Amino acid sequence: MQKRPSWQVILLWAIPLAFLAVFFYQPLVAIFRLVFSERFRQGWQLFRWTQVSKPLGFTLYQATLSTLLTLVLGLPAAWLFARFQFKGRKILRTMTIIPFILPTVVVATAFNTLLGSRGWLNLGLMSLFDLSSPPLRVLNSMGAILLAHVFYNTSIVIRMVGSSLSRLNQNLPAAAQSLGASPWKAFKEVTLPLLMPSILSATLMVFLFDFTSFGVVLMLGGPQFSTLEVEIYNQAMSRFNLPVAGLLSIIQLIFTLLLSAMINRVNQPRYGKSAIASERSGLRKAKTAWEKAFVIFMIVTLLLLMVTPILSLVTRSFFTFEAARGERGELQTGFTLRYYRELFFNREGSLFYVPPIAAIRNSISYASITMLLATVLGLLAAYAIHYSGASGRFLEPLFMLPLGASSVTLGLGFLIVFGSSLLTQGRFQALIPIAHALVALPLVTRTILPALRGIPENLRLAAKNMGANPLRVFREVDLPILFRAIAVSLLFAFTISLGEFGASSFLSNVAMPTIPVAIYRYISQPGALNYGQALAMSSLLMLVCVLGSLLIEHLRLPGEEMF
Amino acid sequence: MLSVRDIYKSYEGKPLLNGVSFDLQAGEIICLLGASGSGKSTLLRIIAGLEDAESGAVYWQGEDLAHTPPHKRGFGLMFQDYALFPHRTVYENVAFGLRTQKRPADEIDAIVSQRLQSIRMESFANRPVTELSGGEQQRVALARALAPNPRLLMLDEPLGALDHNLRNQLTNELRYMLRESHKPVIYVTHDRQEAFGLADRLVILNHGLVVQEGGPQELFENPADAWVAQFLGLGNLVEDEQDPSNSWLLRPHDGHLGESPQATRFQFTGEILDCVYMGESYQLKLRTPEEQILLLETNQQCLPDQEASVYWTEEKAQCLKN
Repeated sequence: MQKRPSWQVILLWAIPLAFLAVFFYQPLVAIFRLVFSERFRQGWQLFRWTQVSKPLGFTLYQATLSTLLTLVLGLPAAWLFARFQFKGRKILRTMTIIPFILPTVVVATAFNTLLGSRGWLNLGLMSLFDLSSPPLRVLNSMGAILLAHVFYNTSIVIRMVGSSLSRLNQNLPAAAQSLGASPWKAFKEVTLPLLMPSILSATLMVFLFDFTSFGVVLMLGGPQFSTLEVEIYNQAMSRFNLPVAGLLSIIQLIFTLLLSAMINRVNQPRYGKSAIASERSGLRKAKTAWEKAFVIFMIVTLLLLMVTPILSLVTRSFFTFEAARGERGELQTGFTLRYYRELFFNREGSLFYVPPIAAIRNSISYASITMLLATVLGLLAAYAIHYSGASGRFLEPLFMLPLGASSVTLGLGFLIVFGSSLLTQGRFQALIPIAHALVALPLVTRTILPALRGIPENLRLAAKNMGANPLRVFREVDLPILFRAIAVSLLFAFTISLGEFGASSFLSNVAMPTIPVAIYRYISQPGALNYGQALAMSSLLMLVCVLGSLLIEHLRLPGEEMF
Repeated sequence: MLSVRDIYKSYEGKPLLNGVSFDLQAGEIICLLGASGSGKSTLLRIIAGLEDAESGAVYWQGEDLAHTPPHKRGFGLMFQDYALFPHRTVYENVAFGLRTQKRPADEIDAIVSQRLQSIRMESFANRPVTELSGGEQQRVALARALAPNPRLLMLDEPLGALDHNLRNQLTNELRYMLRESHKPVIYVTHDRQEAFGLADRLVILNHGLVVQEGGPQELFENPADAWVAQFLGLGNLVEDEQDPSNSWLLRPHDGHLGESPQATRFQFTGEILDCVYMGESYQLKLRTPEEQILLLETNQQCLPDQEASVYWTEEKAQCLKN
């Protein structure tokens, strides 16, 4: 590779690094400083042990339980999709992937429409038995959190374990059988050990997501359940106890970094090509009665757990269920477009009331800024890493680290660093696209970097040789080749920003919420219209995210996968 | 010992095996020979029980194996890609079949060492198989298949993945090892030299059917039809002018240069494309005005681009069905 003059490389580093220094490392350092300076001033008695042990204990407990349940569903589901051919296989697989791309708020809302006091299950039971109040209290329980986490993360297991299962050389278990091993023994001695790395890394990944879960726990768990993330939010936002919030953030950061490091270790390729099959697809129809029963059972289970919440959200957003005007007790039920229509009306109710259309406008402008910011920074970062050679590999983790910090931590850090100066001026929400860009940056860099590494340096030399200046080389060679990666990055950043909840809930001005923040607010308020509008917005948000990820899937080059 | 009867199997709606039958005697080595994609590997998998035939049956000493699962058949199978367990060492790979038989540890130890010795790889015992070269993997795969003492050994293109020089060297080694094992062997290949070098009997597959079976010499001397002759590379095939369903096989070493003293239908004139020295004779490549390419072995050196006449006597030509 041709070596660029080093000052140019330094310039490439300068902008993204400065951005990270100001908006990521400075808030992080501020959290540390706050915690330790308070500790020196007041000693450790400032922090009560239970303030840490309770949320940490619960976080570990619910994450372990959620992960186990996710594996219980995900591993057989991975087997189902990698081994069996059945009608509707592709659609079902796509449907099971969708939950993973949904914003947490949408997931929480979806479960609310299924199990909440105004959800389908309670509505059904009420009309069936003529009850006046919802009989089931499934929400605000551990069960709801677990269910939502399983819904959310099963697709990780299906994707990671499923892909290594379908790439596994089928001759290996066959060889074991020809050497006298029963199918079970062949599975135990050959298939399982070869799948172990992917099972392990899927487990760690699921655990990491469950560990850092914020929106789901906040919205479905209710006040009695508090994970680290929720507790950081509570301590900072309702008790204004920033040192405790900071301490929890540090503990959280340590755990996520440890988990990420473990995932990285497990992900190292191990057996090379020998364990990977050449051409056989390995899909077949279920033959024995056991196999048929397994396939049917899995399809039904997946439909129930993975598909009904989505359908429930969409159908409930078109369904009215409220007392008719003036006639108490008489219920108006049926199909309605009212919730969607109302999104665009500006009904001034209370001081805090924000019309949904304003939230949509806010979110779209934040998302547009995020998209441009993250992609430009990601491009610069990718070029900087690419042209720095060995030292680039050393500096790369600097850009990846924001992936390890939760957005709640980010929000807290922003609050500490910029809080006093910006909050008073009411311009705190200007930080929202910056926080979103930080969340998107690692993904954008990871998308662009491989595409950039794939450009043969000879193409640039050839262009130069024909008299193109560096800018023209970039425009005529790099840009067209990077086009897909850039488009994917833009989409990534846009959808991430639209759905992001943690940092936004810290940063958004009461009068200027983003869509997820508005949904959170609407759904916790009484009134059919509020509820319905939350559902309508969630459905629209889901639609945008699904379309976005379909487009990403379409644009991405074959062979590249998210995980 | 082994009888394969009327095996039918389709692939993506097209028949792949269209009623294949053959027998295998004790201690016999047969080669299943056919072009790539002729269903040879599938046939082996069906015999091993790893795949089900749509119809037909496999018998072992008269017993129908339809309800015998693969792990109870006692048929060793060596896969084309060797399918060595990448998470196990060389030793553990070879010991795998012995462990499933629940043999005592010291016995396993003894058999594995002896197996590794026979392929001169004792010092590799504790290496991961992923570090082996192609030839070494091939030998370990064979040792693994033989270790549990199977009653039948099947090899699926065992030399297919290796380069040419290694193949020639290993064909001899393999022949020795297979003879030594005194086991019935089914050897699948698409390489006729390999097949002729190893087999007691050859079974040739085409379009999902056994088109001919017999000893190497029998096949060489009396190919069943023009396709077999062409597939085995026996010589030139010239269409019969009177009956287009027949062809004539003209073997290169039976041909002569010049004009035939007696009248013969197989007198050709054409342009010399090539004349290559093959050690004991020259191979002449001739193109007739009808665009027929003819090969001829001769003691005489010729120059390319010149005209030449060649002929075969009628008694040396063989008439074959197309």
